Amino acid sequence: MQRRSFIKKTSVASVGLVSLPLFAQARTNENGIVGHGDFKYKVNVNWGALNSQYYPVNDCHEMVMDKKGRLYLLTNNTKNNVLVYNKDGDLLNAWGTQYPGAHGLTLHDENGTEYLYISDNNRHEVIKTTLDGKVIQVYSCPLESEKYESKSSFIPTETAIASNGDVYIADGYGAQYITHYNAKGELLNIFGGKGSQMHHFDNAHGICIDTRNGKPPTLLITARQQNKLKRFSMAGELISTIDLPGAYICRPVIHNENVYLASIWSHDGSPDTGFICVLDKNDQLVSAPGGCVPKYTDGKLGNMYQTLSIFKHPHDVCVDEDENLYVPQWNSGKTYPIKLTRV
Amino acid sequence: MKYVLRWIYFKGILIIVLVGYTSGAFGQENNQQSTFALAAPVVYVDSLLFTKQALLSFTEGEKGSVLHYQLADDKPRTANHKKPIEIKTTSTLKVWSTHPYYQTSDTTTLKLTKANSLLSDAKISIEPEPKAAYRGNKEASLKDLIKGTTNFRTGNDWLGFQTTEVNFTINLKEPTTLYLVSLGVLRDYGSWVFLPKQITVESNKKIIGQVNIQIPKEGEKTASTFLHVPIKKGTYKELQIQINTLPTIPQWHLGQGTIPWLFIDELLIN
Repeated sequence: MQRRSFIKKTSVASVGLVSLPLFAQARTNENGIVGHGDFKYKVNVNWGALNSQYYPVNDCHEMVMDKKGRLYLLTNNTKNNVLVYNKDGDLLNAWGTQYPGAHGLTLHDENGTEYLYISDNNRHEVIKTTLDGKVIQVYSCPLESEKYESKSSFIPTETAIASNGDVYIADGYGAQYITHYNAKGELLNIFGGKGSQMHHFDNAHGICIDTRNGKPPTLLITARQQNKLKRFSMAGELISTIDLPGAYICRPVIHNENVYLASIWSHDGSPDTGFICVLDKNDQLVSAPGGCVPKYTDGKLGNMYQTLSIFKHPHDVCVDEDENLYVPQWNSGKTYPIKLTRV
Repeated sequence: MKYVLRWIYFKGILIIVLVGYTSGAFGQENNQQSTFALAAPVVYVDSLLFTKQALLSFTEGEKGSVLHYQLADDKPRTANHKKPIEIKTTSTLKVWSTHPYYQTSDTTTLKLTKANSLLSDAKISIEPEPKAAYRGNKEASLKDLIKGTTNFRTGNDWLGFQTTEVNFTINLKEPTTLYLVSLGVLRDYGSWVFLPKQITVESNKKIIGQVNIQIPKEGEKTASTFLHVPIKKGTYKELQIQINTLPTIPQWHLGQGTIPWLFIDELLIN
């Protein structure tokens, strides 16, 4: 049993032993709780705060959690590109000085050993490292694909690693291609690219592999400027799209049967208007912490917009085993990640 | 953790207990006001530039919030997200939200401009060309009477430049009496987009109007707005507009020392 559900069930049992009026005033009311439906949260803006003289951040781009419950924050401050926290927000480790464009961070368990994949949009490379920063492998511009004229036109933002070790790289700030390698680093396929057709991308910012509901794995890829999630086969064929109007989604993160996404902007893309998205197993938006109530009319989601100024530019969501969320932000005054504790 | 004394009767016996409880979200009492503010209200408007009337509507916002609006010299009024507002004259509209628990939102300010179509038949040359990623519909974007939003990344409303000087030459179809030139511009410091430093209007190589824009300050909000240049009232057929940017982004900004972006979406003459 997960800790959250254990606490929930034991709390109900405890309340049953005492008189209700006695404890009524200790209940949490709706004020200060963000989100909708079954996905509501308390906000802790100070969760990850550190002394910036010693552990500075610029943009806080992405976070992942390893199997020991340690949280890895990626920032493009080269004094410490990676900050490692425990779930209480205490700093455990800091490393990395060679990633000026540190942007995407993916964790992959390879036969019991976990590795990080750092997408650096300044170095125009993806770097595979150990959890303490030792470089294992580097993926550069796929010039052999003949889609690129120069290394600098490849500006990777995210990776997804399949169970067989295949690596998918999203060139979200570059030519918008998804590059597919095998575990040896050999190029297998390249698809997507810029254009106006549905299989094209405008800001292919994030990518993940969806294995929910016992279905064969597929790729979920964000088209951020198009406010869409696009589902592709592992061979790169478009299957379907998920419209999230007003949500400028960064990368999909799958936890249990849900998809979590940070929307860096909302509505018309104005600055400082971000919020968080939680999709259910049917890919319907069911909660939007910081945003308006998601409403579907005739199967179409209404335009999403920010209602509370909690976030400026949320860039990623990391989900722990209790379904609490950790939210790093881009261009938000060099602030540290915010924690949303599920209630 | 806080503590209070409470009592209950159990089978006729008074029992006094010490009850401990934690405060609500954000480390505050639930009945106090939050440290968080409501987001600035989202206002839909068919066009910030209009020839007859503009229709404004509002989103619902956070549950329990109340929408307010104020037209320039009028008193503040309560808005209803189900009832659009009609505007028929050039107006400045302020909209904000209040809530019993959250802080009052920032104010959304909209400048709605009743425009004419004096430029519809004019030829406008642009020097230099806008940057490749932000060319909009070139000359047509400047006279389409569609005001761009602060989201300059999509659509064809905005022309984006990264140079210290931009020149527009306007050739009107017929000589026209004019007294004002207006330039639709964007301010978005987070995206390194700054207002120009100076706008000069010439006709027949004589300066007929000039404005200097105040030095940008840290924290100024993103806005799609107009800069107005009063010109010597007269009849003109050709106008040259010279737009000078800041030579470099100011010291307080992350991009200090580099040339700022300049975004222009509309030219108006009156």
